[in-house]
Amino acid sequence: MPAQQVTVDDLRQVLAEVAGAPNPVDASIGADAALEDLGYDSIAVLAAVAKIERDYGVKVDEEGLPTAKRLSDLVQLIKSA
Amino acid sequence: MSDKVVVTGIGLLTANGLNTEDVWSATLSGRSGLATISRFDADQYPARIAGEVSGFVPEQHIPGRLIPQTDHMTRMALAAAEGAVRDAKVDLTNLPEFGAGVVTAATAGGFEFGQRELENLWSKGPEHVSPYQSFAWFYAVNTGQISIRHGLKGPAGVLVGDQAGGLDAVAQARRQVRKGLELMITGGADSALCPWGWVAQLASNRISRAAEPDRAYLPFDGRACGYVPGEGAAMLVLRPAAGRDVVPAEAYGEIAGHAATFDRRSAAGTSPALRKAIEIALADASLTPGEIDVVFADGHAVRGLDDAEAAAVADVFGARRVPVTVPKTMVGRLYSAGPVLDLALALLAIRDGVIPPTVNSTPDPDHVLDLVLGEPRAQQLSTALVLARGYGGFNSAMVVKSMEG
Repeated sequence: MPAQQVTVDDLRQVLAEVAGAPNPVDASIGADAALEDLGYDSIAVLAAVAKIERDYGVKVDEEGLPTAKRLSDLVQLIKSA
Repeated sequence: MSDKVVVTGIGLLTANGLNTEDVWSATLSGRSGLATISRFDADQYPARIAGEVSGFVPEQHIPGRLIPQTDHMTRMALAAAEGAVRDAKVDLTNLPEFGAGVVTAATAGGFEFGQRELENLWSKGPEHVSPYQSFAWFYAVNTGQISIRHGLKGPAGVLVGDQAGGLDAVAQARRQVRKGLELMITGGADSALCPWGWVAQLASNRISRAAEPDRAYLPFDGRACGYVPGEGAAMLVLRPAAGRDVVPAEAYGEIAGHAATFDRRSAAGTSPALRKAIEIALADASLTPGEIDVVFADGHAVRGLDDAEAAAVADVFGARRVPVTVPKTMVGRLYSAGPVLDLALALLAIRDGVIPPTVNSTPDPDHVLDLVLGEPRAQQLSTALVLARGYGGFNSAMVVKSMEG
């Protein structure tokens, strides 16, 4: 599967795998949930991105990582890799 | 105002118990946790006996998100710290924002985590290494994780002095409380029961190669053949006796004295520095040798080290003048957690008026130490001395005292 098809759910799964289960947040927030609210810090994001890069054979733009605050931001970044 | 620093909470995790009261009752009944290693296949190694913690389920103690970023020893540290805080019945949110801190000791760091990630590095490449490797194997990681988990923003630190470091950490926590901190979590946690950690320990040439668990760790015995490594965590909550909401009568006891010394190179194998540590710790506690009720010995089970320790104790107290015990014969040497476990057992011994036994060892009847062997010894206690030595020449001695004392 190409990285362009990575979904928010795929990302959630990878985050849970490499960085553990998220903090509970209001489900209605969905893809706009903030990584910080989910309990994922910059190291968790690095771990998830590293796994996605390995699994999909892509290189995610590291410069963009600090500004990716929400799940949807990170998915956008991955899709444009 | 009193500057007494008291222990109000204890959290323990060892090969013979998963919480304080379980460890204490197992220790009084002489139940050993030493066994052939099960964590990895140790058949091909010259030493095969250890004090493994079994039945510990980290998910019951720490949030799932901490699992991928922690080594086994950090999970035990977090569980023991949580146990100590619960035992202290303190509401941490009631303390001043910067009024509580953490100081722990460490000997090995996170070897199991480190081995796995180094294997990933060499076999698959750097992109397969967990970013959590950046801190998960550090000496300081337990202090950091405990302070984050409990929201403690006061001073934080770590001491590395092998087994002696455990007492030095508690001493540093006492200093912080005396400087005005309302609460310190202190203690140690160690585990290096993976092939890499095991080989690293074997390098000291002090590890027992005995095949039978009950013949493997025999301090002060003519058959002494080295010590058995264990794993576990021991954490204490320290408070000022005059602190907010502290009920001194409910405390386990006071950290009354401490000293740390360092061996110089000596051909004779004697340790004037260990004796010095005992003397300075007693002076720090304003106690005479005659006022110490029991000694928890370091008990390396390495001939020269045992002889030196026995001589130091006999020099200070007189031959067979004070009961001596080595309950770590049941769980192995826990490195940074070892002497903190002994402090906890000493405080429980004072509480219950009973000295826990040394198991398996049978020194000569005329041995210079009055060792408490096989069975616990009922005795009114108000003070105890704990001794700890670390590889490379560290010596540390600490005195605890009952609240009535």
